[in-house]
Amino acid sequence: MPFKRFVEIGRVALVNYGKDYGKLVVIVDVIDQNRALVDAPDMVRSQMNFKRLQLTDIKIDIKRVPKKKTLIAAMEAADVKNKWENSSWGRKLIVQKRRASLNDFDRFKLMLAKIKKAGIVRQELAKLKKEITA
Amino acid sequence: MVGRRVSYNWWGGEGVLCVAGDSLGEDTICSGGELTAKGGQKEVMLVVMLDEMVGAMRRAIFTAQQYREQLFGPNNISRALHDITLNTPLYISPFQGFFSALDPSRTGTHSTHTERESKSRREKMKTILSSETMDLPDGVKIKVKAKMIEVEGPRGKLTRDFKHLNLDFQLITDEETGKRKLKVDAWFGSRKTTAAIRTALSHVGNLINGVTKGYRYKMRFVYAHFPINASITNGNKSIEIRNFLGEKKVRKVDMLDGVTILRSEKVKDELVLDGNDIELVSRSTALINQKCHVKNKDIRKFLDGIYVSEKGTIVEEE
Repeated sequence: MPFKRFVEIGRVALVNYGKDYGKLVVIVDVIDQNRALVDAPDMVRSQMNFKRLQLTDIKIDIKRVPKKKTLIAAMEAADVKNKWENSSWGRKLIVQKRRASLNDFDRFKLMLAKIKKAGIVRQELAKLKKEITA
Repeated sequence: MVGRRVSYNWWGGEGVLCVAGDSLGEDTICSGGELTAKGGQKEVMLVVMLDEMVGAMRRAIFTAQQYREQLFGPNNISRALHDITLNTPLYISPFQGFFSALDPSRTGTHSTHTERESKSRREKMKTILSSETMDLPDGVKIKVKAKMIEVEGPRGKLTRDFKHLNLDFQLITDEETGKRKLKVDAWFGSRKTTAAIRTALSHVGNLINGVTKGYRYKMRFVYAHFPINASITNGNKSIEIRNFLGEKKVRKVDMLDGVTILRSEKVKDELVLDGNDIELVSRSTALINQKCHVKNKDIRKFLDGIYVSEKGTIVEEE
């Protein structure tokens, strides 16, 4: 029940709203009760309201407001990208993106694959049912 | 002079000034002076109204000297100032506390903020995190789930739910000593929620106490002429009171859950109420006390009743 993900310097967060939607950013400083200074390797350091951020489990080891180079080095050291892509949250996002970018042919192929999978499952289930009754 | 807008740095605002003797309209009287003598020269502290400042009223207090300097340049000390009363609604927006604040008896205090301002400032402040911990003694088992606290000990079990509070309860083990503690957090709490932390801990402390030591409240009968006749019925769970002040009415009080009552043997006219839950025990004693209020008489003279004489525990500590 107690809180585990805290707003602190070095906390990695996901942007939820706005221009940088979907990016992973690092909280680099806290401006006031509602805003943080936020930085990522591919964006200009800017301020963001906490309401736009969703905290993740990942935390990196930096001091207050590091230079861009040190920030990038710390992110490499903590291996943020891999940790994110292997986490369940990160994987779900990747899957969502893939699903959203399907074209019609892909959806057709997907439909065939689902039917095939359902067919195999039903065959196995029928076998098991026969074993029980017999 | 009247109606002139000037700005002052002290409060950074603009205002309308009035000085003694100014006429601001019909029946105007300027109020708000504190006449102080300073080096032979009379100075009056004036309260100036600042209007249209984001809906809030602020006031600038400055001396008439400054005002004069503003107008006439420094070193011009020609105006004589006397006490004045300001009364026109033109320059005083609806602001109740103003005049009382201007009483000469009250000037000089800190009451330069309006009550509404201070209150709204106080209400805005939120403390990021306030938390407090409490030691848990061995011998009691405590369970915390979803703001329901359950305490179990040698005398029984008590539960209490704190769902009306916005606090986080958690059991932690202290690092060095290894003892168990109950920690209560309030995140972004106002003054009142921060205050609720300590009361929640006190309530839990009472639960623990009740379950280990129990609560024993003693009451004494007090009567001047008519002896109070009390009989314990229903297996120590209720009491009947007769002859209170000679009245024919029989008062019956049922004890609450888990509270037992008996007449003390050795001490004359004493009742002893026992129980685990302090809320229930104290409420039962209050019920008995309230049944024996005197009506339609001078209560300073008619002191009859049943009064709480001692609040203690069942298990005595040496």
